[in-house]
Amino acid sequence: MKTLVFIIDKPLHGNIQTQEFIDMALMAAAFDQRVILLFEDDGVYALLGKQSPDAIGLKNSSPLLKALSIYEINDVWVEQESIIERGLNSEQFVIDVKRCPRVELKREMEAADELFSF
Amino acid sequence: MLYIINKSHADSQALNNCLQRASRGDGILLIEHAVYSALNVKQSPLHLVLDSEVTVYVLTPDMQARGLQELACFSFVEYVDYTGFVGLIEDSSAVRSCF
Repeated sequence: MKTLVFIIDKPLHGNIQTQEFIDMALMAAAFDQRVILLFEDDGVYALLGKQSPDAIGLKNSSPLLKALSIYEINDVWVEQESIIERGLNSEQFVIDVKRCPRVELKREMEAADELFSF
Repeated sequence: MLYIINKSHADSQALNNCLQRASRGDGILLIEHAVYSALNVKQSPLHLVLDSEVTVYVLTPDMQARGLQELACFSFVEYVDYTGFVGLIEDSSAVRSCF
């Protein structure tokens, strides 16, 4: 089993690459790889609850995030510095996440087999 | 860790974000439009690298394609061709594309 880190560092809206990127992560998990979903920089905004992107004709990504555990993606990590810089706290998020400081994430990424971003 | 950047600092925050995370022993490889960030101008965030232990590499074919001269770049920059690019990937513990 390989450890694959999927880094989301941009908001999930308004970008076709996003859907494809998440599909990649789900597919990797379906093939029994260990998938870590890491949110940092503006990517952390994707975790906010009470989104209604249908108002501007976009798809809501919150249900997908809530379904991650069904795909056995249980490692959802958020960079602590990114949340603090944006004045957010994890209670505002639609799913439970693990808050990790930047230095710790760096160690985890060095230890992983592959890093993916979009 | 090797960070690969493909957009200039004027176009994207990627280089700034990566500089915040890079530490001793890490490398930053500038490709495509990111080669413009290697130019020694005040606006380039690479000023922050001056006394750090991060190595900055620039892909020469992308530089030459844009008519950039080595003389105009920061003195600490190292130059790689495609073979060097592959070598960097081989030698890195982790590779992160910051696109």
